[in-house]
Amino acid sequence: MSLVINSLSKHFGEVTALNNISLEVPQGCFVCFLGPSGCGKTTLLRIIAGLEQPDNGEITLNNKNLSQTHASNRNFGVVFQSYSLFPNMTALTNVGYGLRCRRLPKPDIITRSKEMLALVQLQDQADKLPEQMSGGQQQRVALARALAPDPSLLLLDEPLSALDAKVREELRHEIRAIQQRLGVTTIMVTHDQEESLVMADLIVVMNEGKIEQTGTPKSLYEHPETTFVADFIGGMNLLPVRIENGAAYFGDTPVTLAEKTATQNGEGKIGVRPEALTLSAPTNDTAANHIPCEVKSITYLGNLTRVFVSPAAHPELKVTVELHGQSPVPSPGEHLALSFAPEALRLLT
Amino acid sequence: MTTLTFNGTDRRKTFRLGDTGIFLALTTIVCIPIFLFLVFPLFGILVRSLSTDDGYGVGNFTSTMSTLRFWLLVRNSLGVSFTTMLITVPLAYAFAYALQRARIPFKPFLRLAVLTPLFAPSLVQAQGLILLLGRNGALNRFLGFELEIYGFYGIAIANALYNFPYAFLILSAALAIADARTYESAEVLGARPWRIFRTVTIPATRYGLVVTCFIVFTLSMTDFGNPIVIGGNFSVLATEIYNQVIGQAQFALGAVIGIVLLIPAVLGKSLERMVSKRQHALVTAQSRNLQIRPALGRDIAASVFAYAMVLTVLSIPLIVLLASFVRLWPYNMTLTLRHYQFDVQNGTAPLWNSVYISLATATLGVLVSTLAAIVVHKFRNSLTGFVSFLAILPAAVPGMVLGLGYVFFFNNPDNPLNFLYGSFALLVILSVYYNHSQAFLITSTSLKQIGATFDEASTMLGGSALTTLRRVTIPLIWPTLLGVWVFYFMRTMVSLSAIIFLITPATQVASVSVLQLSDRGAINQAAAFSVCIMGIVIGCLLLVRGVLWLFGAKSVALIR
Ligand SMILES: Nc1ncnc2c1ncn2[C@@H]1O[C@H](COP(=O)(O)OP(=O)(O)O)[C@@H](O)[C@H]1O
Ligand SMILES: [Mg+2]
Repeated sequence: MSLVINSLSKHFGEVTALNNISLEVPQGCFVCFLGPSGCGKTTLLRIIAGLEQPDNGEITLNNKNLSQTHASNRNFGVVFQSYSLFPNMTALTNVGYGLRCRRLPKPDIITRSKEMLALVQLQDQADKLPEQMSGGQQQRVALARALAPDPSLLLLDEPLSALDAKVREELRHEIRAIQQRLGVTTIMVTHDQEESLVMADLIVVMNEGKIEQTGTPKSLYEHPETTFVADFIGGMNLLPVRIENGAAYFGDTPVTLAEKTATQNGEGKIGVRPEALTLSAPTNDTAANHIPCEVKSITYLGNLTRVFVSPAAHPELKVTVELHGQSPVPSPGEHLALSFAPEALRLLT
Repeated sequence: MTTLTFNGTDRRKTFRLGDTGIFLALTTIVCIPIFLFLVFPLFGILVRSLSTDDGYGVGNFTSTMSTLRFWLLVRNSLGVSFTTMLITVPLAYAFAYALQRARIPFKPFLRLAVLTPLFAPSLVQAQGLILLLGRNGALNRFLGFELEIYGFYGIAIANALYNFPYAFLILSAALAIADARTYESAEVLGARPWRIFRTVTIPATRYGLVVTCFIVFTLSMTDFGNPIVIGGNFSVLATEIYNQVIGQAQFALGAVIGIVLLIPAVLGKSLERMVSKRQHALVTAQSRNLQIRPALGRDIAASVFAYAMVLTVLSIPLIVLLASFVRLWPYNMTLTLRHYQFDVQNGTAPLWNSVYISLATATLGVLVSTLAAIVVHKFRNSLTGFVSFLAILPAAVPGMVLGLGYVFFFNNPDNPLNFLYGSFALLVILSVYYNHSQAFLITSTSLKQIGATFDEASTMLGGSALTTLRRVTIPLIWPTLLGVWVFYFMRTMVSLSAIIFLITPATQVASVSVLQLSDRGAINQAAAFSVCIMGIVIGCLLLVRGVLWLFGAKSVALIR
């Protein structure tokens, strides 16, 4: 059982919210749509939910086209960003709402609602009204309410973004644990890369209505394909390089990569994580993977130290180096060399 | 450890009327009556005004407009309305300003007291003025004045008193939303109060001012109760329709003047809507309430003015109340309850008729206007704009014009709905549609405030549009609906101009009784009738306020 999205597009007047999106969500998987605000995540989620109609393209669930199925008949659970609990109902009644819509027998509704409240650890709040609960509690009830009718797909639109940091952290793990326990296929929208790395099995990185790259958190972190993904997830340093006859150069410094280099001559970008960079004494000759630079500023963050340097060949760049543990810390104005292993470099498009 | 597998079966019916089906059904239910009870009657007036002895044509218009009397009436109406506007708007602005921007003791009392004209038919101001300033009024009688209140100034003052609460409500809202920071920065820059008032306050409330001018002008142009009671020999367009149709059965002439009265009303409403759209754009999310700092001189001046205004407004109902309890105003001032025996005409029957009609109107009105608001806001589609236009159309139709339209449309033997003519049902229907636009707008605002999230949440949980309505929307907006109910009840209790043409001896209502009693010179009994109307309205307001208070819904506005 899987959800397949095929060449989906959506425009709002002049704005292209979604541009030819294709995607497959495997059964039981936790997928995150990750991207900056306005990139179309919510629109995509709402189209999947049936709350918005696409201009083009189709969505199938188990090979069944959903276009003729009204949102209320899709049996998808949704948790919205803003607390959307019905203010006139208690936590328990809210959770039972979907079951009442399905005309289940009353005792079953109550049993199931209580179970679901217990699942989100709010059994003792059953009779509270939404206004009497904290934001975190309300979102838990909303989750229980969405899960109560046993949805085939759970959709979460930035469910944690209105909460404060500590509650957000707790709920991340709780939602993930519940999802794994129930095995329900889940799509969550977020603009917080850390959240997606912690929670998702699969991340779909979106930008300007398009999918940039899809992959597991690990593969996206380690093998970003585009500068956008490299920058958005974990913050990579981007170094402009020249490609000449299959070899890459940063200024005059030859750069060797472990993965194969593009054969076409021209400009390119290389990504390298701050923690993969080291600082060493400057060398005079143009040794490969040794870039002369000047230390600009230093930030101490306890367990790690961030050093910002400017390469001599590109003084306008600000490259971040992260030094861990006992590494000696340079001082501003020092002239050093940036060095890195060929395996740490990614050629980006 | 709970089991998390779930084996309940979905027992929703497999055949369900889709949301589109529901929408079409509801749209039909909303629109057909609007056509029958609003559009067709208005059309009826047009047809009647255009039918002459030799077929259809503009003959009635040309012959009416070639008489000197017509232009005299137009001049009278315009003159009175303009004068009313000049009196009401500055005073109401000053009053609203004083309440919003100064420290005055007992503000809630002042706010409520100034709204009392809304609790009585629009002829009560004239009634009170006559008791106070008339030929046998208190001033002439006891202080030896020789005031002549009947005519132009009587109408203008009565209208000004009657329109005061309408103007106050709009201006007060406009002043309330003006941005505090603009004032404070003006103060910090060292601007003097008068300069701040001219350069900040007036511009910030200019739309509210313009809208108020339109509304006061239109209300005065189309009001009937006060001019008929205090006008004497001074006729205006509204009283002329009545005299021509009721007195001389000149239906064509009535229809022509009806069309003429429709013009300022439609123009005023259209301009008002254009202007209010901009007003809304002025309110930004960051606006916040103004902190009023104490300033002794200002506060004393504002208090004196505000209390003087309230005293003036309250003097009318108070003198009517007094007159209802004395033997023969102003000759024999011994207190008595005999005017409350209602041994004239049909006794208390008109009063009960008014109550029954108002109860029925309020209940039907809430259903009809809420349904329209729901169709417009919860089932958006290509017909939405049209339905919404129909729903607010009554705002531009003066009561007399609509009432006359009912006469032309329902008094026609060829009309299958002719059986309604002369019945209570038609009075109820007329009142429902006459007040439809405001009721619709009140409910619409409330529906917009609760937004679409709850609807979407309900839909995703498997609820149909009707389930959402029943379980979520209605439970959330019921206090507003109760407010609409009160609005309808109040308006119908005091309504005069809309139903005056449709009254029969069997369907006599209280406001018309007041008119007829004053006409016959039975001013004490007329006063007693007015007091009863006000008493019932106030009683209803208190009752509903109490219910809302019990259920914790304290912020619902009841008086509009
Ligand atoms: N109902 C709408 N009407 C007009 N434009 C919309 C609407 N919904 C979204 N958009 C536009 O579509 C784009 C994508 O919006 P959205 O899906 O909400 O982005 P995200 O959730 O990633 O922040 C934005 O440019 C937004 O302004
Ligand atoms: Mg969004």
